Amino acid sequence: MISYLKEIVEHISADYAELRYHERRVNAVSVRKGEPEAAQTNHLAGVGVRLLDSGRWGFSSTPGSKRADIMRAIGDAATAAKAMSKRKKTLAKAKLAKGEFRPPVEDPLENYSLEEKLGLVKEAEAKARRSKKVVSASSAYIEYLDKKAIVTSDGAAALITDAKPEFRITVVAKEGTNMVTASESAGVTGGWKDLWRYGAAEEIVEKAVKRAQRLLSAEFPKGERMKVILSPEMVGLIAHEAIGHTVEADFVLSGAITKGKIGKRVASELVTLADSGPSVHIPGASGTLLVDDEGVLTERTVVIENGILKSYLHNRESAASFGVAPTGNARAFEYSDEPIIRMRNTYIEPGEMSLSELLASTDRALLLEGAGSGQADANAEFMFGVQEATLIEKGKRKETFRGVTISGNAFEVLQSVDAITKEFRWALGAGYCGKFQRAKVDAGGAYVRCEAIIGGRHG
Amino acid sequence: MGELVDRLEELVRCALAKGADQAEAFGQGFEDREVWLESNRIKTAKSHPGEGIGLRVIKNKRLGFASDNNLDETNFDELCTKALALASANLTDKFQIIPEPHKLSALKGLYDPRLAELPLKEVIAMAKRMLKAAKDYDRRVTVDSGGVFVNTGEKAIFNSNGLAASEQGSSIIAMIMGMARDRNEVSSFDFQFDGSLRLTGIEIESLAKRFAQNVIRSLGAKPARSFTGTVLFSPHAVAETLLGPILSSINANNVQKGMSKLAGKTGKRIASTKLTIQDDGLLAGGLSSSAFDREGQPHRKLSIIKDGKLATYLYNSYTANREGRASTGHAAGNYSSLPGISTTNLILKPGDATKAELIREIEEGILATRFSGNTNPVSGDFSGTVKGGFYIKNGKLANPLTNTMIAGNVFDAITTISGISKKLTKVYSYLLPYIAIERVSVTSG
Repeated sequence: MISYLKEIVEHISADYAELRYHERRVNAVSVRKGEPEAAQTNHLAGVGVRLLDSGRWGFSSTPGSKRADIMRAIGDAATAAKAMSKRKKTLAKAKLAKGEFRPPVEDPLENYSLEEKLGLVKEAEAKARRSKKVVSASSAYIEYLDKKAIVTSDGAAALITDAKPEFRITVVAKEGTNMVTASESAGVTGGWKDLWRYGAAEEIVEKAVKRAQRLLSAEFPKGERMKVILSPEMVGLIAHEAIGHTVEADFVLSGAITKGKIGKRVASELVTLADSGPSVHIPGASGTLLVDDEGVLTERTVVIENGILKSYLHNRESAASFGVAPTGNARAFEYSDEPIIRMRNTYIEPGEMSLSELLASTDRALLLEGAGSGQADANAEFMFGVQEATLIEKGKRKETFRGVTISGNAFEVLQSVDAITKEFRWALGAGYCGKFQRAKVDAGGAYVRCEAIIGGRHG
Repeated sequence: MGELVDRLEELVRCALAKGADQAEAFGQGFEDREVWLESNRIKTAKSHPGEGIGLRVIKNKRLGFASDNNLDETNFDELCTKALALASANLTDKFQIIPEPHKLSALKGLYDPRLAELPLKEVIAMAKRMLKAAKDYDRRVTVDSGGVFVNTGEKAIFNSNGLAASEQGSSIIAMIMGMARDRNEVSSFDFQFDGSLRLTGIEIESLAKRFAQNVIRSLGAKPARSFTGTVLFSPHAVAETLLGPILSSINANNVQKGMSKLAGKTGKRIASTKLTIQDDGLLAGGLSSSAFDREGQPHRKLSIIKDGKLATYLYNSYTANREGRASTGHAAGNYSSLPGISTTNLILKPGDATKAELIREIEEGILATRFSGNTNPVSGDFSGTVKGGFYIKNGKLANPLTNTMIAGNVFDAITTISGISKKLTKVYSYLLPYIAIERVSVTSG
């Protein structure tokens, strides 16, 4: 495929041309309340074509990989570029990928049949429903098997193969008219063993069941500004949604709050936040990306170092306009998507303290666990749901609260960080990021103590 | 037009020959033209064709599904084998069914040839007009992203019960998102949307102006105080806050699987008598209008909630079969997914007040222009930040709001509706009014 695409790219007349063949198979099985919901396999293959001509971008794509279809897409991309206004636009020099790339895999997914995967999902869901007060449950297993060939007119020629499996369980518990849900998931880049790195399926189910049962008798909290202890999934959520998006160079250019703040203090000196293509600390982060969709070799990009803003996240175009090196953040979800600036694995570096030391040194705080949905704005103001909050008083766990939200300005929250533990984990492996197209991303960190606004109810 | 159906028939025959008891093939072919805006500029223009087929098989009461994005190069034999292999690995489920054909109405106005012929250059010109209208309104406006998107194509279905149908369609959609910047202040984000099946059906300039007005108006925001009072939800906020749990809970699959608070409530009062929600898959000009659903079953007009009483859940063939009834024609999804359940064009019945009259009625409350937060589709609990909101005092808009959160439960909230506007706004495939709800918890300060 590489030599085939190379031969085609050589004949394109444009300042820059990029051909990206992407073949994807998605296998999914799911069970809800004892019955099958999905048993499906999707195959998707095609070529995305991107051209830069006199500063004008053009994009097109075609299903399949026949020469005639690729040539038609090249023609359409050229037509699209010509319809735009000419602009001065250059691409930054980059470390372009050449050769074959495969993230490490422990126990390939192909070692297990679909029957086995379905069996696991079926048992997980049944186990949840055998538990007290659980009235319904659903469980799913999904795997993305990707092959990509990326060739650019200035020399990238990379063949990338990877696998991203994920598992999820949702539990519904009921008592009287009171109904609550809890969910847990796992997702990695890698194999079967990688997927269960933080616990086997039955442990993941157990965690969701216990949480749902606790939430049934939980109260809603009073809204107030207070100390909170963020679990790795909440740290990941804030690092990705509330900080990460504001340092994507395209958002910076359109006026995000981080504009002009490079070199300035934006967080407590305890905070070092990075976005990394390779999985750091622990292998298998689900956003693992060795080569981005512009054919650039990825790296660990330090966004905030000891509280100082160090870098934005770039593609080749934004890197050129900022006069820096690209960070390998250009990503496309499918062949028909054009690469845009996206995160990979976003996290806060662990500290020195242990979690038990952190809890012992806490006078009064809410421990927030289980990421819910939420949103963040370009001014770094965010609001996220939290599945479960536990009051910590004088180092001891007290009552549980439900329906909790956390909000604030992410940079103010990071300024207030006074402790970070050493227990690090990737925590949002089954997560996706939506920015016009989807992307498989991961995020995480250690436990972080800081201050935020807790939303609840009153009156 | 008949060509796609012929290919689907070929695929269904292949599945039957390989041992499927029943089979259904759904196919799509389309041409997309997209112009994206980013950072106050046109970012990219792109056009691309796409297509795909999805095959559903049932063998020994077991379900299997396989899809491919390429009609020409796909090996039908292999696709059938994959779907059947999945079926044999799957659990037995006696309710699995491929539906019978029913008479379909011929819907007019779904396809506008002017959209099919619209050159990419013209789409770019429309995006430029949208950008200019937003920037011309006020230089402090920043368009972060958005675009104009044109889609034309056809869909078709064939199944082993002899059901065969196809339909052509077109649409144009415009979106704009961004904020206002005034020295160091960055306003709330705003998002505006318009869409039509016809080229002449969207108003690019008024969309851009609405967006610009909203972000400029939300500058100079300050918090209010915490209280329990009336919240006036804008049509967008209704979609973001109230609709999710209702739509999730009237989905028959969720009802049957114990994930709906509205289980066992048909025929019963669940909301204020002011609330009537209809779904109409045949609505003239509706963005989701089509003669048939993802399973080839006829679309229709249907009341979901009538004068506060729950009238029906929404069914596809599978969930209907479980209850021994007919599908309501709400099978949803594309070629790459199994038929799920979704509304088509949802219409919330208008009230009799203007927006200004609704505000005048409020002693202390807030106008929630957008809602950014967390809504639990099962429990109905919602909690989140009000964006581009206003504090209402003594029947007047007092000041734009920041740092203001609202919380409550959707199933409680729909029982305390005090007013509904008479004007409806298009939000995706929904037609929604302003809705005033009493006794919502507001945290601000």
